[in-house]
Amino acid sequence: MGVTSSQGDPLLEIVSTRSTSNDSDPAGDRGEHREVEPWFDELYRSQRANIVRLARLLTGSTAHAEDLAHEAFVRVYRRGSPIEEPVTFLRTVTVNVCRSWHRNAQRERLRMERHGPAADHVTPQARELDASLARLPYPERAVIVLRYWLDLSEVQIADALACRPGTVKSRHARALRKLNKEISR
Amino acid sequence: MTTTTDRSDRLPALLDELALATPVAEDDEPFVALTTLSSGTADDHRPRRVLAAAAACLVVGGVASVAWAFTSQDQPGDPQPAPAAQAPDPATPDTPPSRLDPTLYPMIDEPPLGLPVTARSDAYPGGSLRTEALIGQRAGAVVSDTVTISVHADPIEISPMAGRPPVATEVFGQPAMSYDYGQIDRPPLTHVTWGTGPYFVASGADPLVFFEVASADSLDATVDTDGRPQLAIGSLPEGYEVIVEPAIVGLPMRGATLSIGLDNYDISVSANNYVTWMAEVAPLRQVDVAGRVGWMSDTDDPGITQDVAWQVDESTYAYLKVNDGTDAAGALELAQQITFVDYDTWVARYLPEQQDLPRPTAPATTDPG
Repeated sequence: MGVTSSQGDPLLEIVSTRSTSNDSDPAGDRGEHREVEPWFDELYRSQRANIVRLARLLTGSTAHAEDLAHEAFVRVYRRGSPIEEPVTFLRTVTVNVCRSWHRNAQRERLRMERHGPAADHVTPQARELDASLARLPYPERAVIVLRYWLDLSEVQIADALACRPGTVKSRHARALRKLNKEISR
Repeated sequence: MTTTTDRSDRLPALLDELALATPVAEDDEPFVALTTLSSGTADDHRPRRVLAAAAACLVVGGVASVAWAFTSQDQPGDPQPAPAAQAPDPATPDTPPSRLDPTLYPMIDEPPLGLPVTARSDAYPGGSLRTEALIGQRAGAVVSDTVTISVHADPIEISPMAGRPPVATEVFGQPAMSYDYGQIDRPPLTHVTWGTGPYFVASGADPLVFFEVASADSLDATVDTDGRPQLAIGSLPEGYEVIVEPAIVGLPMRGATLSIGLDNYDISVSANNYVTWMAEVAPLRQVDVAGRVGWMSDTDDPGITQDVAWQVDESTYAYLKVNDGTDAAGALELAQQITFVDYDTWVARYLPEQQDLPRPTAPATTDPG
């Protein structure tokens, strides 16, 4: 356990739950392997699939969901010490990572992916909802996903989105009005 | 009077369906965080991204090198890594570039209301490679009936929007498919595809109106020996003109954004022309941005964000998006206040959150003209 150093390239630090004695790892000759703390390992293993799915719902991008989830774990990992409510914290970080992705990448992403194939194989109703979610501003989309997929309360959503519960309520009403208009077609 | 029914009871199940349809790699994969250290050796000339991408591909099963782009971000306030030794750019005047980076980056000395400014630089791994141009009908300063013409070397697949099936039609006597991408509270948007190679996509409110009056020699497409699609705009019907000349889109590239306030204003730069995108939302109005040709969305629709796009230099396009209710005049005034600097000056000023990229490939200049 602990830190295993090598004499290799100092450009990369690789932190992994992988056994440090894995000689077959070709990255092992150019980086450091440091095993993560048990609390983080447990968090990663128990929440990874959920966080990937949350990222998918928050972004609509199957292609990027794993990457964004991983980025969220990296940010939690970098925080270091055990966190009081790690799942809640991880969820908030994921919301922020996806928000950042929306704000900074949306135009380029959409321009690049517009002509791509459909990734999910779901019912027409689910696909319709997916398309409707894509047309919501990110804060409204996040409220819908946190409320109806994670079943969070207004207060919990407000915490995750760093806004007031009243703001959550108005965003929820606005988003629902738009979705009802679409889904009820 | 129309009424809508509350369908929220269906949302949990539908969201669950979407969530469970998301492929998730095996959970027994280990967590691996790739981070950069600030102690790069001067004699190591291997591009850092190659090492990082190799490690990422090694340990994260099924995640392509794009994973690196998201896992190697530095945090605001982190020590900035020493610039990686820049690999020689294989691009020469005889070979097309393999990535596109802007040469100039935005600065603002006096943000509105003294709001805080944060900066970010993003890496885009590239998408469907195509050559794209924008045409439209001009009436004074306003350009409407815009059509974006894209040419792809490879067959394209368009996802039907919200389950709406495409409609068969014709373009220049060739079979074509028309996809309705209309959105709530937005002008209509239609994609028309045709061609057996190269492959065309025309996007706009109603591209077929253009094809009713255009002739086959209006558009000419080829594919270079290097596989890149080329588009030439020939004679256009009366009233139409080229707004954005054909340019390659979809190469890996860098983008940079200044965010003012929480969500108030975003100022982005990249090597892609934002006007093509704007044209899909509303007619365009030509404006003057510090002596340069700029474009704004020409609409009074409060649901459409005020925005300004303009070309800063040969490889840098800027885009200002206003989210706080500022009117068109205010948006244009803010755009006039933005100045542009080279990459190093920008990084020193804003310490951006950024992905671990090699330095910009194009030579930096501090002269925006």
